[in-house]
Amino acid sequence: MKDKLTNNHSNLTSTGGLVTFILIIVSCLLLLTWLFLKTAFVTSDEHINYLHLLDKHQETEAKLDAELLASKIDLTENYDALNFFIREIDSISQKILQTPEYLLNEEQIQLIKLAKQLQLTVQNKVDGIDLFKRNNALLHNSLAYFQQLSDSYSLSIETGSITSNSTANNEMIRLLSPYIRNIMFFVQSPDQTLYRTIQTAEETIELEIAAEGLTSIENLLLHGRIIKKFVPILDKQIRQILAYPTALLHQQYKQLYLNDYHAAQNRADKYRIALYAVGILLTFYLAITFIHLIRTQQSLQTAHQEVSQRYQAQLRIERLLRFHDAAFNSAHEGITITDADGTILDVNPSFSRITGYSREEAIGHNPRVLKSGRHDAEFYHAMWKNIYNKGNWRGEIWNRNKYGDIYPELLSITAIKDLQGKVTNYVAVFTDISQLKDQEKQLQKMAFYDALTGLPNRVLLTERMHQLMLQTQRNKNLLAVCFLDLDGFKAVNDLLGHKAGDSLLIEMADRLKQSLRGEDTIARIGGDEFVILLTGSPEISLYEQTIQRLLITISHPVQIDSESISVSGSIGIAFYPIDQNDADTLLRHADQAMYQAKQIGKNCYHLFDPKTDTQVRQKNETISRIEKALIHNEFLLYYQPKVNIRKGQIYGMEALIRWQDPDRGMIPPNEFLPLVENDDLIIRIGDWVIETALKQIQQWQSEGIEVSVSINVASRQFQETEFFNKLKQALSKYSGIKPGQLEIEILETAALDDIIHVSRIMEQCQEIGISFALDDFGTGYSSLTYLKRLPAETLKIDQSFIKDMLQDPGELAIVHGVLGLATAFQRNVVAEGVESVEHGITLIQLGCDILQGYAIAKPMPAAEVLNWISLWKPAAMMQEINHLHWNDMDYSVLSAMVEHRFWIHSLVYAVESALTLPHQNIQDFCQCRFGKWYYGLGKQLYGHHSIFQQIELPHQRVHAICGQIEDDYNSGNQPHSKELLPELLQQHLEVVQLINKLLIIIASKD
Amino acid sequence: MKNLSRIILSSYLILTADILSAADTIVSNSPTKTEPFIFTRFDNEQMKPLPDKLVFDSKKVALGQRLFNEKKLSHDNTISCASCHDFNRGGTDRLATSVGINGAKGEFNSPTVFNSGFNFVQFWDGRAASLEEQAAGPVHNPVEMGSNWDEVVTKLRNTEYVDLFSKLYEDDITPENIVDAIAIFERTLITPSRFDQYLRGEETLSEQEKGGFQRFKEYGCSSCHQGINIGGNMFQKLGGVKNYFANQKSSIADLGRFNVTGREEDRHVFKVPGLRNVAVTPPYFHNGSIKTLEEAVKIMGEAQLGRELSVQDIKLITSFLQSLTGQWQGQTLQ
Repeated sequence: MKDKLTNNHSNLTSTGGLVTFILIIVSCLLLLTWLFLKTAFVTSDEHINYLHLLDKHQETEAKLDAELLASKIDLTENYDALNFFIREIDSISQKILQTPEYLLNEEQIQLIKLAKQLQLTVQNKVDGIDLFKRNNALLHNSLAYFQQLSDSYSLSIETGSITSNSTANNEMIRLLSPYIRNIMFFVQSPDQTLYRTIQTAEETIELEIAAEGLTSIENLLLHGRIIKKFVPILDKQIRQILAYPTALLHQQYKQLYLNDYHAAQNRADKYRIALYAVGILLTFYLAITFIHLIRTQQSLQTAHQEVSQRYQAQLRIERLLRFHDAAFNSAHEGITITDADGTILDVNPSFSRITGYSREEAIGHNPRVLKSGRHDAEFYHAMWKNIYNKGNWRGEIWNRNKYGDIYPELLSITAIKDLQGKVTNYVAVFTDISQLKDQEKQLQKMAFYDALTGLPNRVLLTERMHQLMLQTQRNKNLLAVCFLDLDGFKAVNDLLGHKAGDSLLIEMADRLKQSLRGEDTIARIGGDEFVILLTGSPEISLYEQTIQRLLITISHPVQIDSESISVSGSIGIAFYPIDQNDADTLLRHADQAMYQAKQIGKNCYHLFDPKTDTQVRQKNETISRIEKALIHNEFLLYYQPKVNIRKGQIYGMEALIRWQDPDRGMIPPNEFLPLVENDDLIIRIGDWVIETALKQIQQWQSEGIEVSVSINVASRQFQETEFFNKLKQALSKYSGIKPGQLEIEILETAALDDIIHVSRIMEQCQEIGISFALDDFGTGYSSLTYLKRLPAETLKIDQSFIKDMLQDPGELAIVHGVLGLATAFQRNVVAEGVESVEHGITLIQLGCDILQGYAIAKPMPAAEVLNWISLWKPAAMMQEINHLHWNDMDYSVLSAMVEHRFWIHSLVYAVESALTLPHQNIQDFCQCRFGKWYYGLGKQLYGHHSIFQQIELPHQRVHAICGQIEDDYNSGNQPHSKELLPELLQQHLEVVQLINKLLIIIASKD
Repeated sequence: MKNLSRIILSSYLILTADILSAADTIVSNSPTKTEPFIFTRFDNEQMKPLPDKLVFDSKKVALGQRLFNEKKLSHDNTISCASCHDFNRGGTDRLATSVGINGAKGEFNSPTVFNSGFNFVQFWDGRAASLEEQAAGPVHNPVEMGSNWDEVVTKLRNTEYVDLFSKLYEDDITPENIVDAIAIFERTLITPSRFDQYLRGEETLSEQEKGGFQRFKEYGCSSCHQGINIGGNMFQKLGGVKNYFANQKSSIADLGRFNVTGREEDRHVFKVPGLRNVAVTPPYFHNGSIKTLEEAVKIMGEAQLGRELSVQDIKLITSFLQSLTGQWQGQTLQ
């Protein structure tokens, strides 16, 4: 069936079949069209119209007849309608001649012949009518005239006035009356008898007229004759006209036409049947063709479906093949396909890359050519056993490439079996894992080395330490475990960023490596902490030299991002086996020693001493003792006033902690606080201080004294996260305390430790009305930048500067500088350690108004404060000058005085101690610093003051005495020189007193 | 008695002739082509007024008018229809017989073109069944226009007529279309008169005219001169009662319709002329031999009615005939 359909299908689609099909369709269509035209030829419309025309002709003719008769009897008085119908008939006749086209030619000819006959008959009839019209008009006219005449004659007859002759008249009346009567009667019914009677009468009258000469009667006779003549003629004409056989012709014509029409219809019917038959045939043909087409289409669809499914499948397979091919060719892994015997059938490019064998070289060979020889037969046996049993094997294997290199690979072998389970092929996939192995090593390295510097890390360090410790046990050498921490690294990180910090670390690591021997170990164990292991010598001093060298190396400036940075290192060293401990302990000890080095002052090293370790233990004991003291409330606060000397007012109180030890008595803070500085205990002590101070302020408040109190807060406490909250909480308990009444003093060094953090806390505290003072200002290398960033309101100049400023021009310069700085940054300055009135005076002269120190008051218990306040007033000398102000320019005077003092003191010291004289050109009073000032700037500024001039003499004396001392020294008479000292000091005192006077005068004048 | 027989006959006619109504109105099937006029069957009025208005294709009328005045229709371009049918002369040339090209003398008196559409046939002898047929006549007549259709069509082809025709006729300039346009134009040439108003019931005629009309009917003039055109709807023998040609030298033209049919009874038979505008279309009769209307009336009374009309009668009838002079485009014909 399917084959047959396919055949049909092929027939149809073949050109011949198609042509046949088209020919059949076209010829059928032509035939159908022809047949349709044949049938459509006979249209009912045309037939009806033609019939209607025939009927109209007949009807119009009837109307014409009627009109004719109407004219005859004077019902119609004009011929317009008659003419109209004649014309109408004529026009219809013309149309009738156009016979319908569906009739056959001979039929049409026959019809036209008959139509012409009809037309001719009608024409004859019309001609008759034409004559009738004329005659009828004449008759009509004559009748009218005859009637008129007869009426007038009748009148004449009655009156007898026809003729003059009465006899003739009578005779005429006798003749005319019947004549007129007969004529009138004849009009109504013209018959032959009457005609003859009238004729006879006529002749008689004519004779009579001729005899009588009555011409007037002739007219009557004339019209009588016309009437007599035309009445029968008209009657005859009417009869003739109506007798024309038009009706018959009509009937014949119609019959003939209808016959022809039926014949035509019959013909059309035949064509119609033929049309129907052809239509049916065509329909059958088309139906069969259509069924064939549908079947063909169905089978085509099925075939198409099958084909497209196969095509899709093929596409999928092709795609898959392409994928496989791509996978095979582009795989990073080497792939080998072998047959069941292990002969290579194909390899991929990666195979060639890894093994070095090209595809051509490999095909046909056995993969055993790759064997490295590193594995024994057992290995391969196990491998094959696995493949046989499980169908695959996977593992690492060492192979040899074409060039003889041995490399590790990760190999996976899979057996491919057919449907019967028989192995047909093997597929081996392998990766060169040399790189992997390298990476493994790298990872291993990463586990032991610091990523940033490439130095060993703590793990490797510990390992090395173990090794070296064993080594030292054998060779009796020492192992130095050096713990290095960079000083100031944190600041670099903070200020320049971590990148700079990292660069610094790398640089340091490099320097360390370069300055050490190969066998020495350097490790980085965190942040800026390095550990250096040195060995090879039993001499400690050798190690110390090395360390010293390292410190120098470290302290060289480092160039980072166009900035030169200097850091230093603090190193702690522990020696093994002097310190008989394990590696961890050794490291800890070195760390402790480093810490101590930092304590000492950085940029130095410290050897761990097991005794120190004992101290540490003692320290721990002390800490617990201090803790106990806190618990037992053995601490108390002393208060040292700060006064504004210029105003004569109390500026505030600094709370200072004291330990009232029941056994040891009163202990100052510097004896116990440093011990707990790095312990959380300091925080607890600090809390106690805050609490106590606040309580005291409150109490004083209640006693009517409003005084601000400053407390010292340790760095550790200040940087504790909870510091601010605790402080705020504490403050909230003492509502009477006003803002500004509590001041916190922090060490400048502590503040610099973490300047960002510290300044943030400071700002927080300032918001709740707490002010800050930087304690020991000047000791912390603080730069302008730092000062600017620290929002402390007050700077406390470290007492060390104050203490020596009278003798040391350098210290004086610092104090002066700090004051200048404070003015510039609008900070208050408190001078600590004002021990004498002299100090006070100088400070006043320098412009420092707030003083603290023994010269004002010693720290006192809270109980004494009230009393002190009520009694205190500034010392008399200070009071003398506290209203005076010096210009900055006048500092040179002060400075010159200190220079002079310094000059004298150093000389005196040298003489007293029998040391070499410290000065050159002693006699030249112009060459000393004071002299240079005096004869230079001093003279310029103050030369006009008499006091200034008075200074010259004692100063020259000073130098003169010094000249003698020098001479004594030169002459070897040193003891004598000592004798000159009292005089020297006398002159010196005079100079100083004069300068002091000058100072007062200068200020007073302004 | 006469009335009785009339009633009986009419009843018979109504029943037998399949006529539906005694006042059946006949309207032309194609008013634009042939008859725009209305006829009444069994009309017992002798005279019919002209229609109030006519409906025609105005463009064809315009073309027809132009052709009517077109001298190119004549061989030497000297004569148009209007040459012999001058609207200023009552639609005639007022010559006894017309003058054609090269001064050729025709045999007939040209009848008026006014109201000629109402004539049942055209020419004195009725040789043209329609105006269309008539129009072709003079074109070919050697003593009239002396041309032929080929010549005329060729001449018109070279003029703007091509455009005018092509807009109105599918087949442009053809003899059929030329005569069609002329005929359509001619059918619009109707001249309503006071008499038409009188027939519609208005008192527009004077006593004298009414007297004339009375005699016109009584004496039998209206036996032939009747219908809408007061004549023009039948033939009649000139000398129907008394031989008119007895004492005359007879010409071929005098034979009348005999020339067309050859029938003895058509000797001296002419189309009865319509009498509208008769007063302004002298001279009279087929050969224009009668100069005055009075004379014509007198002759008609003798020859056709067998009456010697009195001077009074003639005067009255003539005055009636003058009331038939109508208006063309608002102007009474002169």
